Amino acid sequence: MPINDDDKQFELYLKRFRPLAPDAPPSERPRHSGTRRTLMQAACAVAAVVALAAFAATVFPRITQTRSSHVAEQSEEHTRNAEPLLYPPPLTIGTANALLSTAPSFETALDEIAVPSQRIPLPKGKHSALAVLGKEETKL
Amino acid sequence: MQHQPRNAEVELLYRRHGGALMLFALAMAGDRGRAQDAVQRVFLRLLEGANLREVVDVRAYLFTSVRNAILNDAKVRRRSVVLEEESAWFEPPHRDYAAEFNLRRALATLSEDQREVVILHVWGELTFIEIAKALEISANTAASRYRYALAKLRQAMCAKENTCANQ
Repeated sequence: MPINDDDKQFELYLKRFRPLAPDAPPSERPRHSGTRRTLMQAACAVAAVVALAAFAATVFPRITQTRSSHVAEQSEEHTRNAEPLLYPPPLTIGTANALLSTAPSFETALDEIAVPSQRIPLPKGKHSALAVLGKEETKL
Repeated sequence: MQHQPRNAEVELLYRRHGGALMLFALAMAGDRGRAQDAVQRVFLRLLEGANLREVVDVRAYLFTSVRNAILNDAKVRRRSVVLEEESAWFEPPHRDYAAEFNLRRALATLSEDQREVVILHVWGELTFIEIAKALEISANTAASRYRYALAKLRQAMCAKENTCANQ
């Protein structure tokens, strides 16, 4: 079927409209390369974690062992060199009950319970506030 | 020996025919996203080593492949395609965007069969024999569809706004 001149002219007019270029061409196997890259990254991460774990397993037990033995030695030393307890243990309800049940009288028990004052040595020429106040004459 | 296109060859094909293929895909699929997908799928297959040994006319092969890719899309097959109006299809002469819109609107008035033939012949530069092979119709049918389509296009484009006066 022949195409007449008018059709040819119109066809030429249509050809002046150029189709828009599509987006950038696809790269070669984008999904595969992307997957491969992700797998490589995952493998590297796993290898790094394994290496760290192995390093930790070899180094940390030694450190822990050394530390625990050192702590044990220190505590033994502290026990040996511990300062003896100068003051009686603090008064508790338990000790008070024990004293009240064993003491011959209530007064004796109270005497036993009485907490001795702490005698802290003061430097020469210094007096404790309690002593100063005790000597002061108060006029009412 | 099989002929597997190299990347440079594929890129050349893409640069040379990408625009017309995209236009053809747009006219068939209706929207740019599906059209772009179809064109990209065809070229991706080539990059992955599709065999072109038995291909006589690569251009006709590309158009047929794009057509098949679109027809394989079930969503397109199930409905009659509505062409989107927002995005441009052409770069118009002298930046005459009104004429571009006019052409798109005129193409939309054609039946799908006629639109395919017009695009393949005018912008795809396929002969009627090549179109006949691509669409699995006779060459006479292809030529006949083309003539009717052209007449309809001219009527739609030139009658109302006289935009073809200086063609």
